[in-house]
Amino acid sequence: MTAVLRLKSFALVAVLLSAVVAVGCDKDTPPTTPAPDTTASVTWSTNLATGGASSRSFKTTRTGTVSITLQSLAKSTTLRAGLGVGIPLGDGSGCVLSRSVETVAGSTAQLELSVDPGNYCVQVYDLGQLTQPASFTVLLVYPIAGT
Amino acid sequence: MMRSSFAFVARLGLLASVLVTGASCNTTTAPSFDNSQITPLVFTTQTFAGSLPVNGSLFYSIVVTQQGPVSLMLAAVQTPGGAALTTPVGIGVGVPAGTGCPRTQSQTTPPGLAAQMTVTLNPGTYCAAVYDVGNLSGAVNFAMRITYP
Amino acid sequence: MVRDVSIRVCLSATLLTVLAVSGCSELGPTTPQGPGINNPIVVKPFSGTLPLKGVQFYSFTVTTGGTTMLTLVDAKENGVTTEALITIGLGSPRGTQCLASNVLSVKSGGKPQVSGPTGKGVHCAVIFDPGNLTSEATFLVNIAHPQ
Repeated sequence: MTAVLRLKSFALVAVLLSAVVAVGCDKDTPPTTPAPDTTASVTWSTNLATGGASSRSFKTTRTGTVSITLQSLAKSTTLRAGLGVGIPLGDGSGCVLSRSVETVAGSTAQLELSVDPGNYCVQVYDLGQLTQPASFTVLLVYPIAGT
Repeated sequence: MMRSSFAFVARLGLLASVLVTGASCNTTTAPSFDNSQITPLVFTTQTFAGSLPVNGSLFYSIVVTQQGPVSLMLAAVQTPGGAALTTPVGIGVGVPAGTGCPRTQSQTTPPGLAAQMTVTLNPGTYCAAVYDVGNLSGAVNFAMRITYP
Repeated sequence: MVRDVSIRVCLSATLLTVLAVSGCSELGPTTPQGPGINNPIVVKPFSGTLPLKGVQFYSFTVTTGGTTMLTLVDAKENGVTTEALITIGLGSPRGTQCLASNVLSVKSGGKPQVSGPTGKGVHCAVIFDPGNLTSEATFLVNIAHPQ
């Protein structure tokens, strides 16, 4: 009888030990939740010279889609301009366009393009329609990684 | 005596179960690494730009210093006047030899801002090529972004 | 007995010869410093047309290391061997060029004019007109490099 009790006690201890060890196995470090990937929105407003081009650069930190909207151009709904996106040359000598469109100002993105992380540039250029410098606004939305 | 033997066997079995549990636990433990031995990849980005003639082929030599991914992004194909084109051209990777760059991997692609080709290369000297696959009717300007470790 | 000794001497001599020819020693493989029996050279003809103030280069791969030698075998302007000094050199392909580390301005001749160590890897031979040509020139440079 005593032997049976001892055996039961030992079995209980052993099972408890197993459970503790098993629980220890499952005890993982709580996962850290990275901040969700997001986008940056930049409103770019400046002037476009007659026969000229205006560029600005931006940096994406993750793969995604860049969206570019020429929202206004000299307060005109009929005036057209060139709108493009590309890469800046390393020597700072300009913006080499990958895609471009000839467009009037509007509220819908005129250019959307997949991009890798890196440095890019957007450009607005005169198609020969300007008779005087024109102000414009571009909405630029591009992917950035969460922190 | 018989009960005593049974108890002994039972103890052995239970001990074995504890040991097995412990052992299986070890198999799920994440291996530890000496972080000082892991060299993070450091990437270099070069822009290869030029004028590609009809039926022409141009290349750019790079030195890969760590094994890792090398990506080619044909960012732009333009008229000599600077208008963006979507004309597909050939891009490829090889090892400089003679006066050219014999390609070991290549593909035809229109320009874009996401890498069109990524290959894993060992340390060494390689070349990235741009070439006309027969689509050009005149010379075009191009820009390719090359990223390598 | 005498015959046994003779056989042993003969075998030893043969073994030593084999070791010597294969470039082995008790200290391990020896590294030849230049083209030789143990490090065969490859001669590659590099020919073309050199524009005024132009540059041409030729890439080659060395797998064993050693000395590479360049010879401007011939250079002709309008079909006549030129007396103009033309620059040849050894270097490494970088970007769109051959980055030369060892250059010399020479006239065509039959002997190697530029030599330099080339380790395992990709190298290049470059030829350019420093401004001495009066018209484009055809040329032949022999590149003798270790395999």
